[in-house]
Amino acid sequence: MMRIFGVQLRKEITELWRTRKLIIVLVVLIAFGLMSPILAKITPDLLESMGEGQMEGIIITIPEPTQKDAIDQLVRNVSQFGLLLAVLMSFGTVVGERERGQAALVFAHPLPREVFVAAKFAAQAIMFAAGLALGALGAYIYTVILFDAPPAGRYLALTGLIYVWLLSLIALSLLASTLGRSMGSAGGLAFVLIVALLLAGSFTNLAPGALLEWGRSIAIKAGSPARWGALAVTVVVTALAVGASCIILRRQEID
Amino acid sequence: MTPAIEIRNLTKRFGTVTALAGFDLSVPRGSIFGFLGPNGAGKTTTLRIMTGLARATAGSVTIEGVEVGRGARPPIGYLPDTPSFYSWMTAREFLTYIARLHELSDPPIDATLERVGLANANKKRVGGFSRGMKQRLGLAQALLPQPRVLLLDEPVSALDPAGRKAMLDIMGDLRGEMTIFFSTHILNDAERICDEIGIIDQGRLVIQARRDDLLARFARPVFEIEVAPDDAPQLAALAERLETTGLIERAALDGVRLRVTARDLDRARREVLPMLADRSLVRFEMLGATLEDIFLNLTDPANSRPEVAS
Repeated sequence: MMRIFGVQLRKEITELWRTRKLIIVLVVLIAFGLMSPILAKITPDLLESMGEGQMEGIIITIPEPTQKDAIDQLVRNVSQFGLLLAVLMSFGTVVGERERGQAALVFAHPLPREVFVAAKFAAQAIMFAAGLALGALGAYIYTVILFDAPPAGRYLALTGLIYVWLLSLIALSLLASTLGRSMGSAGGLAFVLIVALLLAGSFTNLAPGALLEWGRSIAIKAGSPARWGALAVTVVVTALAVGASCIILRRQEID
Repeated sequence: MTPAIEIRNLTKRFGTVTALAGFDLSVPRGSIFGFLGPNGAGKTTTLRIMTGLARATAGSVTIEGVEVGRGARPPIGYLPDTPSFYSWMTAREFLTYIARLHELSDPPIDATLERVGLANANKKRVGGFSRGMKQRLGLAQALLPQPRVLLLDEPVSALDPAGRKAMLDIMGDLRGEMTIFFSTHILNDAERICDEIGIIDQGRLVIQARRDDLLARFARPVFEIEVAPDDAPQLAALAERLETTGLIERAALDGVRLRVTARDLDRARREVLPMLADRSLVRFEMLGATLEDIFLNLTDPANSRPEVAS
């Protein structure tokens, strides 16, 4: 089983490379990683230049930006564009192969369907790990150049929590991709699941979204309470979504 | 001898629609079996159940002693009607991937590509393949693990005449190496290549028999007589004479050709030819039944037919 998983994972990663999805994810995450400290640095200057000559008599005091602003910007960027990327890259993976007829061809060979799903999740996880690692590294380097060096361990914890949060999004999109009968329905379902996940963050600190605030708090030493519960819930949601995808695909009839 | 494929009471319902109405079928090992039927008869549904891609509502399919859907995988190769590949792979890469799934230590990739006529295209991306090339690659991936049973869903239906001939030639070359079960609605192809034929209509197996037995069983007692143009006027007289003998049911004259339907086939065989002794005979032929005649006869709703016959 592990050998077949290796074969399938290799196929998935090659596919991500050849179809340029890997490059897109790397470029986008690196770009937003690099932009985060730069944006934090120039935002006060931008606001100042925009207000010049328009608000005479009004004095706006914009505090000098710090590494905290760079980290805030990184969390904001990744929570928006990382979310978008994770959903876009994952929601078509299973349904696309089923719709195009590739699944009917490969499932007639000794490829267990749970391996098919697990390899897809693993490939996405590896792609986003690489993208997030490089993006976070770029953001760290620019933060050091433009501000002070954030504590590396704390910064690593932030990156790790963002990654766990991204994995839950990938897993839910994969579940939508398995449940959907067409690319359209899978996309719609992924949207609904992700919105539900985000909304849950407004009602409880146990939702995966709480990981971002926790990570930010660790990185800037804000002293907010730890969200171990949210971490546990996120891991469980991810595992359940991947597990459910495996079971659902195994029971599905392939056209 | 145990059959290569054994289907028992195969039933498939989609909601209230019955796609397969519970039929039995047995395919002899090593044969080329043509599974015929009009569109929507249940051919693809049967094949999807045989490959494990769909589940039967009731009944069972056993291939080489392995019951499909019970855990173990039967030794099959499968070509869907429109095989779809990863367009970013080359033919060689796709076969390598399939070989790895089967954990083949020394996969015969070159030989398989050669066999299906894709040796020169092995480094070309599948995305640039024509329909015929995809069908060949589809056959290659089904053959690569050297299965004991090859399941082909309409392997030639969408191909041009040259592609169809090439595909049928390859299938013919495989005779004896493995059992081939293929669905088609192109009757000439089935007639040309099959050893055994099953006809399905509206989810029911109408008939299963050896091809030659089927053709013989449905042989029509029809002769066609063709004479030289000079003798054409005398054909009408011959037709009248045949009718008076009570040998024939019907005679249809068309210029130099006379088609007669015999009442008693054996008697007609013995007696009609001597009557032509003084004619400038060009052709005297007994018209056998074609698979098309049999197929149309058995699947025509106007004809009554048995539930399952063999």
